[in-house]
Amino acid sequence: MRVKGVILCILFLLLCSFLISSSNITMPDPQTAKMESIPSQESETDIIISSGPKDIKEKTGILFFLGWVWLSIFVLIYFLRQKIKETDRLYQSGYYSDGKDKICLEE
Amino acid sequence: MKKPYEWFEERFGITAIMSFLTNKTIPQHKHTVWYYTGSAILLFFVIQMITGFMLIFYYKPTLELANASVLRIMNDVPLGWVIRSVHSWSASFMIALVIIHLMSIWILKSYTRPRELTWMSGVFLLFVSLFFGFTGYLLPWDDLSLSATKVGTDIPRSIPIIGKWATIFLRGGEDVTGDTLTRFFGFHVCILPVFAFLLLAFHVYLIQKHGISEPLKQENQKTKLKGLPFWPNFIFRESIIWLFLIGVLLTIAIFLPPHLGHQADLMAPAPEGIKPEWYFLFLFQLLKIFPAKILFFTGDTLAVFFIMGLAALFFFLPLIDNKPLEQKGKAVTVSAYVFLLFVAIMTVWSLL
Repeated sequence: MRVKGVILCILFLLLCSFLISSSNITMPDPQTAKMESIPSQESETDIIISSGPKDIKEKTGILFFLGWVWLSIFVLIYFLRQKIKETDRLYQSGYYSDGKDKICLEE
Repeated sequence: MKKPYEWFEERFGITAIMSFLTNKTIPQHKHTVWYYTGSAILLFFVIQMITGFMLIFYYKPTLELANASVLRIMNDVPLGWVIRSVHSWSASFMIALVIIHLMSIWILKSYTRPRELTWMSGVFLLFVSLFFGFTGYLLPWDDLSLSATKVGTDIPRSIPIIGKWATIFLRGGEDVTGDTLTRFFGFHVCILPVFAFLLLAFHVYLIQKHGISEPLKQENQKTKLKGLPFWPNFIFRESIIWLFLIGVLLTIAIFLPPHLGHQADLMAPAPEGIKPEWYFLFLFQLLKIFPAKILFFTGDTLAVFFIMGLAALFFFLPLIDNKPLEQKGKAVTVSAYVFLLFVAIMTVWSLL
């Protein structure tokens, strides 16, 4: 089980590094961004406006937020796995059968 | 703590609902994994709704302001680019899951009597999802979206008699204009959501009425499989998948946000390399490979008829494959794999 977890973590880190290397999560030059935002008659049709964080503060913030999201997900998954084990054990012991269920809810 | 519970219990009957959910069981077998795709679709639908509500506060569906308002969402609205990216990626995730869900049902033949209408409502939901994607693609109003919409709305024109009318209906006129944008916006945020909700309610009702399908072997032998309570055992398992999918969606949305092209010019020629969204690529390639004329028909007309034929076969599958369970062969399963292979080849071909 632990080996599986380690493999999953390595795969996740590899995916993250791939995404970081291939992403466009770079700060656009504010001056260029401003110029691009003004529609121009002479602009080439194939020019595209890239999307992403505006400055280093936002970039750092968004990466921290993503890290926090994944940490929360892993913690929640850990607790959910414990709950699954518990509910499966209760189900196998017949805890959810009608009679016992009623007693539980009344309590 | 007891008082609030009693207040809610008196009004909503929570005990009865929980008892119903606990008594509802999900069959456990080697194909159970496919059951999770249904709820994952619902998750992405909800994400789309929430992010759509956020985007609608800033988006302006007019010829002059559509592109600029999307640019404003990306540059000026706090984390607007993330919301737009999540909205766009969750659409792709949802359509991918709808396709996976339907293909699993096709391969496992879970559409057999009495679940024909469950399948048909599911296929309708796929069509609605695709139309959501098609209408949403135009809303940024950039060069690429305008050209792709011109090509897409021109396809029905090849259908005899009603074709021209269908194109005019979609465009709100002879050409793609500001009226098309308003019309597509109306479809995207009002008409399609209503359709989707009604179909979803009907689909869920049918699943509830007929129960979740079991593998054909078990249904044939009338043997009862071991079940897992929907609440809490199954929901906890589903929650793990939901959490993981939310993480993946957010990661991809942050690292690969969609770009925006410059404001569309109605007079400008179509840019090179027009490509629709990935889920339309196989249709796009299919239209390209048909010759200009075959006998008395134009290639476009035949291609459209071919696509409509495929869609009809897909929709009426339960009525075509309606043999009793014990007489079912492998032909339908093989046809599902052939269809998947065909779609994959066409998609890769269009990208080359």
